[in-house]
Amino acid sequence: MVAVYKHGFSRQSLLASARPALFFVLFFFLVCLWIDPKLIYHGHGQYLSYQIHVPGMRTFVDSPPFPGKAVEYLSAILAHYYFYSWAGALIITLTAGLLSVGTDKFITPMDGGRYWPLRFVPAVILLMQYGRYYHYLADSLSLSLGLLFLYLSIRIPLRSAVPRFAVFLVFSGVMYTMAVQAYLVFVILWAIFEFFNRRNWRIGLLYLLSAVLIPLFANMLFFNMDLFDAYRRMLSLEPIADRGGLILKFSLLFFLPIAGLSCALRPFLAPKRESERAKPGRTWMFLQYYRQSRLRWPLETLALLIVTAGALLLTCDRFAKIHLRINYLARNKMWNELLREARRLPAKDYSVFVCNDVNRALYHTAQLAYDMFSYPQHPSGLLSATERYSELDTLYELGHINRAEDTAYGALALADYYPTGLQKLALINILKGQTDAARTFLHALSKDSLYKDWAERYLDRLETDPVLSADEHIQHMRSVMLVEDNLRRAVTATDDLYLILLEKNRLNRMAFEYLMAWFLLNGHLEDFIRNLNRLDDFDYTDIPRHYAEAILLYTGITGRIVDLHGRKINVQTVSRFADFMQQSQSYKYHLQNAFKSAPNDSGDFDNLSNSYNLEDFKDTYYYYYFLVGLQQQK
Amino acid sequence: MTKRRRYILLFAGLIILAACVLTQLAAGAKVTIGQPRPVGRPPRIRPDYQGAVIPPNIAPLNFLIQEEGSLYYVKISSKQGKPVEVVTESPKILIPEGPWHRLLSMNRGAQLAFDVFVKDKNGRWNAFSTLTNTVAQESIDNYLVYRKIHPAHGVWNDMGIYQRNLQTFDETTILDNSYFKRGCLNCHAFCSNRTDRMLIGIRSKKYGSSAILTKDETVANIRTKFGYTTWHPSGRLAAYSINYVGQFFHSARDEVRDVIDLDSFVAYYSLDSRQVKTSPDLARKGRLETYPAWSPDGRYLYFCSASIWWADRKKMIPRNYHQIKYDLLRISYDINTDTWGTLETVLSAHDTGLSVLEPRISPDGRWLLFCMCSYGCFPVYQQTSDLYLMNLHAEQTGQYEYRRLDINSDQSESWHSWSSNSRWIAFSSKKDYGVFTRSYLSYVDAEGKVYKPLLMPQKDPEFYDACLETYSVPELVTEPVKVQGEKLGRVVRSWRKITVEMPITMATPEAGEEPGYEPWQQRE
Repeated sequence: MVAVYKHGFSRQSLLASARPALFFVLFFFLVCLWIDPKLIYHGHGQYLSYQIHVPGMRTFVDSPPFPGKAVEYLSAILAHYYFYSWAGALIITLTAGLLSVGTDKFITPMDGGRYWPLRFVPAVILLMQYGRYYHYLADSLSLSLGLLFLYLSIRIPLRSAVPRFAVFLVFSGVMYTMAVQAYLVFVILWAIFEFFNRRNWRIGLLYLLSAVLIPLFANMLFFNMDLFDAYRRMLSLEPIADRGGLILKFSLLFFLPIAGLSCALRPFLAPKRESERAKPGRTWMFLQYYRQSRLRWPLETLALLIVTAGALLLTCDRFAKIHLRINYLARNKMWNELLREARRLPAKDYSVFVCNDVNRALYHTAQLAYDMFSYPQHPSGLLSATERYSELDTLYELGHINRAEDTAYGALALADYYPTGLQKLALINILKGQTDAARTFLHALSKDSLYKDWAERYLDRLETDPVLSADEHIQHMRSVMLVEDNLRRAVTATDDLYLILLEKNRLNRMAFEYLMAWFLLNGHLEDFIRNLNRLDDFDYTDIPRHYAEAILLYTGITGRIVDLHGRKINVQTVSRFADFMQQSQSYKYHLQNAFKSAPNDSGDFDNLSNSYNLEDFKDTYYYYYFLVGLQQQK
Repeated sequence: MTKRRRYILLFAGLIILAACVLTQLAAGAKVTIGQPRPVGRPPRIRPDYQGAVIPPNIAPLNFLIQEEGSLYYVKISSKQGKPVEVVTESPKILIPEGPWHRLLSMNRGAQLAFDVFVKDKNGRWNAFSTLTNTVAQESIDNYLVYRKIHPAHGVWNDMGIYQRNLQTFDETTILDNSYFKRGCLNCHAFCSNRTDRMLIGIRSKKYGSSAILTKDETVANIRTKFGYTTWHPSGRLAAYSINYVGQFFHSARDEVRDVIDLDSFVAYYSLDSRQVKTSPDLARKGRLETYPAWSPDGRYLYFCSASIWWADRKKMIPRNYHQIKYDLLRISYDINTDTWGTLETVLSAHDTGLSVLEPRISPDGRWLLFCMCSYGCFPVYQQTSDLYLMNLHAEQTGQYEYRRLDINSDQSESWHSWSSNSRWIAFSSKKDYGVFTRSYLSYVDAEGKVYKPLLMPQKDPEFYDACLETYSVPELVTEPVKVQGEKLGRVVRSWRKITVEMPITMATPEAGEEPGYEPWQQRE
């Protein structure tokens, strides 16, 4: 045992392995807990554009071969496991580990093991990419493969240039066909190694030249694609979300060539350093002490961990995370958590997607008529004229089954594999009695381990009851879904969208609340009042707060009395409205002046509303009507 | 033990193991049924091939037995030749290609029997009633060309035109839209079931609308949009429709999508003069003309025509769109003098009460196969669309007799084509998979009787169960398309195009102009 300890696990080697171990443990937890890969999975097809593949599905099969298809295929399969945050974190951590080991194997012969932090840089960049929710896994996998090939070439004892070049050609061909994303980097790394480590300039130049020829031959032999495209793919330009994405993408890919080149050129600067060493000063003394100190390892390791966590915290996209999290919570119907998350988001960062999800959450928690103006709102915050995939669920729940179907097909066509869309299409076809089509969607879903049980359960039930007449959800949906075709009214983004649902079933509560919310958001007070009698169709015990505010506002503006069908408005709501009106009289005067003086500066309105304590009324409908409405008009 | 001896022993062990496995496999192939229990009914199988007339050159009709069992034995036999036997623990019956083809080729015109035995959990064999098919005398054309796409509504991503060797399971890509930035491609048309003349319509935001013309081994790009296309049998010209399409969506109907032509006319492109022309009768201002189809002798052009009765031509969808119904017309043509004769009504929508669409004439000139649906111009989106057959040789009586085919279902049937020998048709139907259109093949005998359709076979009998793509516009061709992939893609992307001037015709566009706005252009 002692001998094993001595030879196998010396203190130095233990410390050397402990540092990466600590680093990757931290890395794993940061990815798992902070980045939360399940958000990436659920953002697929909505916020994030990437492919998911499930073995057995036909995605990837029909597309013609293209350079890098193998790595994209692998990346798409691995992305499927992001459904579980821990599995996603494991995949990302293992990829980072591969990059780190690969970097080590490349850098060590170049710098003699001097600059150890360099080994962790690709992993940190990968962490930063995921911190901004850029999912470029294919790049990392491709780079790892390239580093593996480079390591193999270092290990294979080939002294003669010809066999070395032959090995390079084989690896290069494999890289281009399977992992083109890092092909260019791969060639540059081989050339650097050949130039500076093996000192064979001619072979190095041949490597670089091959980067021009191999795509040409590979295209002739395998791909038969546009030659320009064959070269363009070497740059790995897709997918890139924005400039930040571009920077991080190329930072990861080109870090190694830059680091390698820097290490290789270091000896040229060495003589200067030697001369510096000749005059030992305080700094030199300190460095000597530090290098021998026992504190060196823990301090450097701590610094590495702090820098890693700091890099993530400094560069991460918190708003992207909140958006993705809201999207995830909406997809999983976690309404209370969603509303909690939405409250953390500043008003300026509310997208229409977020408004849609928040309003849906408010409806499902019976708060839409009471609290919707406690959250930033937008006239298109319910549904817009052009459907987006986030609206698929809203359209479905409302009863606009055909519009939901249309939206789901759009998602399916663009994302290739879109499991939540498939689920919805299966249900829609069951609702419409198109069991054969429903079965096709269910069979497709049953190939996905994540949805297998759900799909098989429905397939079994369809065997015994093809229309699922005993299914409560299906029956409810059939009671609200449109059955009368109306080309004009069903495709608008106006009140007609909800009115035709209420004509079908006046007890469609969601259609009613969305209709009233639409009137409020768009300032249609007359129509709102006209439809107020629909309250009788439901079991509201009181007049919901926002409805009461709208009634008071309507009465205040028009002076007309509204028939409340025996209901009463809460005294507190009335007195609050009176306060608002009093405050707003002075406000109105200054507002008009503000309009004249700075017609394009919305900051004036905010300042004014603050100075008149109108902020206290921010959660009311009349605040939205006067202030937000005005600002939106402006 | 020395290292060498160890290797020898290991090697010997492996040989013995391999011998055991092979013996087991060989034993498994021979099954003793003994006295099976007769079930008294045919087995439930999927796809349902039972009772169909099958082409003697079709790929194996692999199927799934939907009966519980631990072992399955299928014996396929006919009058001549060695029966094909399949023994498997899986209910998927995968028929070996070689023996299958030998059996079929020896038994043209004969019955083909499928005897199915299933061993139940008690170890007892059950014998199901024999499934029978008839092997036709006449072969089907060896290739089927179709478009595959997800059920597309407003947007699409992948789509392509593929060719399937019907004798095997091989499918190859002719052209997919990855070659030209995800544009749209369709309306592939061949001349007399050959592939030496081919036209494919391309719509691309980046590369523009064009028609890709293949003539022997050369490919050209014609700078104009071809709609539904038909080749003159001489191969010297192609007639096509130009359609100003309005797509819309139903808020409550099984098929969400719908399409009408807001304007359309028929033109023809001459390969020799590289000119587009039309005739006043093919482009009347008050009518919509579409779906041209040449008679096999090239003397008549059949096409569909509906009147434009709504006033606002620029408006998207007329209120009574469901009253748009097409007649079937024909007009004589002399290719030598390039002159058109008089217009005749073959079948009037007024008489049928339905919209007559997609006429296709059998190569022997005897039969006209067409669709009829309750309204409109796009039968694949109409659940009411059915296939009808008209006897063109009965014209001496002054009456074109037609009948609805028994092969129709309560779903849409459309996009049909004939084989070169006029004995087979390929068509699209939604009968088994709802929104997912699949390709079917049916035998047509000399009397015009059309037999039970056969779902285009796949190697995996469960292939279609989870297939999320639709197969549309199946065109039978006798030989494979030789010019494919990048060779076509390069021409689509090319700036070198044959420029053509549009003739003066249509109600909406001016002379020399393409019809302007189209909904798909916005979507791309």
